[in-house]
Amino acid sequence: MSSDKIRLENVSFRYPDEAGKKNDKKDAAVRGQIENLSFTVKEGEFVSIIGGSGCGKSTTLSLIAGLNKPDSGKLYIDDKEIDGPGKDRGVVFQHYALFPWMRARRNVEFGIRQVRKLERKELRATAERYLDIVGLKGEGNKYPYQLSGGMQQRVSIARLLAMQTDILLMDEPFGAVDAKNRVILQDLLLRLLEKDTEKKKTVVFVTHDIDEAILLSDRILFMKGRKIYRELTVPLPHPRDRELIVTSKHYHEFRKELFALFYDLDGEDRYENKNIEYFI
Amino acid sequence: MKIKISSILYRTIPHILFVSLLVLSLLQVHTKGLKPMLPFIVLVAGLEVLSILLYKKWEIPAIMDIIFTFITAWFVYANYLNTRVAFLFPAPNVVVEIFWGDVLLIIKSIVSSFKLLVLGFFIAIVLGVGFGLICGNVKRLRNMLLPVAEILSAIPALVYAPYAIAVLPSFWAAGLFVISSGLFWPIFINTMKTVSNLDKELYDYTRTLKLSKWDLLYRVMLPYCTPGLFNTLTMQISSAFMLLIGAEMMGMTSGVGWYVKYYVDFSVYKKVLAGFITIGILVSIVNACMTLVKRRALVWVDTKRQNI
Repeated sequence: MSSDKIRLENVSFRYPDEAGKKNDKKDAAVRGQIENLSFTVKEGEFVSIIGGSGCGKSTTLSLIAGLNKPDSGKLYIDDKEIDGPGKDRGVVFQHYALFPWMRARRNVEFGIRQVRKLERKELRATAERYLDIVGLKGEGNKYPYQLSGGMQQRVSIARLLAMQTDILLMDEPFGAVDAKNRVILQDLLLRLLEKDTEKKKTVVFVTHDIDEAILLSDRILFMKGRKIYRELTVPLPHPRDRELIVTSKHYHEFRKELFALFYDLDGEDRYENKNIEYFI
Repeated sequence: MKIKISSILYRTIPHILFVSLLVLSLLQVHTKGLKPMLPFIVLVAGLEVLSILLYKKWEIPAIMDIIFTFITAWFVYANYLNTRVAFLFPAPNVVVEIFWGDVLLIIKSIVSSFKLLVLGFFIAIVLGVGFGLICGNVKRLRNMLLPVAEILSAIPALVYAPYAIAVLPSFWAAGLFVISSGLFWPIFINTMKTVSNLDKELYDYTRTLKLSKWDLLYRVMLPYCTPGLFNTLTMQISSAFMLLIGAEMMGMTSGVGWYVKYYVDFSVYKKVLAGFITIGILVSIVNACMTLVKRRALVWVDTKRQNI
C-alpha cells in the first residue's frame, strides 16, 4: 500500500441544504453528492476524473483538498488521514482564484511565502523564475484584470508550481479559457509535468473534456451516479505529443470507448430529460 | 464646411460671453469706481485665463458657457433690474468683494470644516470597516447585528445632534459624533455584507494556504472590501455634507455651515451667498481628494467592468 499517494475508502458526502442540514434523502437530483467512493492514486500518477455536470467530481477533489469533510469514509495521503487543507496539496481553480489587488508576481510570491521563508530578493527572483516557466516573462507587474483568462490561469499555475507541493489538484483548470488558449495551456502543463523527471508530481485533474483527459492522464476515472462507473488506463506512452497520439491506433479505440460511456443515453442524460418532462 | 463654422462658433461662445461681461463691469466701474469692481474683474479674467490654459486638458469651454452665462444673467439682474432690494439679492461683484475682504475667515472656515469632515470619515471608516470585518466573519454576530444596523442606519444622524450636544463636552465633539455616526452605519453594513459574500474560489484558495486569521482579515478581506467601501463613501458624501453643515449650524463656532448661519442671523445676505459659494468650493476640494485617493487605492480594479 505504500506506493499509494492518495487513498479514498468508502467516502460519502452530501452538501448541506439551505437550512444547513445534511438531508438524508437519496435524491439523485441533488448535485455533487458522492457515495461509497473508493480509489487510489499512485505516487507520480496523473489521474483525471471525468463525468457529466453534478456527478460529484469536483466534490471529490474538494474532499482530497480538505476543503470539505466527508460524512463517512476516510481519505489518506501517504497513509495519513486528511485533516483539513494542507500545504502538501496545491489547488488550481477554474476561475483562477488570483487576488485581483496583487500584481501577478505578488500573487506568486504570496503563495511561496505561505510554504517557506525566503528573503525579499530571493522571493522575487523565485516568483520571476516561475512566471518565466509558464511563459509570462515580463508580465509580473500587471494586475490580473490586465491579463487575459489564459494568462491569468498561467499565473495561477506558476503560483502552484512555485509552492513545490507533491500533489496538484486541478478543478477544471482550463474550463473557463478559450479554445486556443486551452490547447496552449494543456501543452504547457504536459511539458512541465514531463520535465520534472526526478520527482514526479501526483496530479488529480477534474475535467469534462474527454480529449483533455486522454492527452494528459495516465488513468481516467469516469464518474456517474455518485460513484466511479469505470476506471480506464490510458494506453498511450509518455512523453506525449498532441499530434503524435492522434496517429496511434490505441488512441482512437480508447476515445471511442470513452465517448460511448460519456454520451450513454441510458444513464444520466435520460434522467435529465425525465426531469424536464416533470417540470413541463 | 458647415461643421467647421459651427465648431468655431462653439469655441468662441465663452470668449464672447467673457468680453461682454468685461464690458458690463467696466460700465459699472464708470459709475462705482474701480475699487469695488476690481475683485470681480480679476475673478472673471482669471476664469478666462484658466479656461484658455486648460483648454486641451479638460472640456472647460462647455462649463465656461454655463458659468459665464450664469454670472452675466446674475450681474445684469442684480445691477440693472433689481436695484431696490439689493440687500436681498446682492450682485456678483458684491459677493466677490466679500471674498476679497473676508478671505482669512473663509479659508479658516473651509479648513475647519474640512478637518471635521476628514476626521469624521476617518473614524467612521476605521470603526465601520473594523467591526464590519469582524461581524462579517462571525455568522452569529452578523445575524444578531444586521437587523439592528438596518434600523439604526435609517435614523438620520442629525436627530442625535441636540442630544449629542447635551451629552458630549463640546460642540465640536458633538459635530464629530454626528458625522461619524451617520457615516458609520452604511460603511459597517456594506463591509459586513461584502465580507460574508467573499468569492468562493478565493476563500477556498486561502483555506488551502492555511492563512492565519490575521492574514485572512488584513491581506485578503480588507482589500476585497475596498471597492465597495469607496462606492459607499461616494454615495454617502452628499449626506456627509448635510450632516456637516447641519451640525455646524446647530451650535459650532467655526466652519462653512457656521459662516452661513451666522450671517443669516444678521441678515447679511451678501455674506450668506458668499457662504454658499464657499460650501461649493469645499465640496469640490473634498471630491477632488476623494478621487485622488480612490485612484491610488483602486488601481487594480478594472474600471471598464466595474463602475467605480
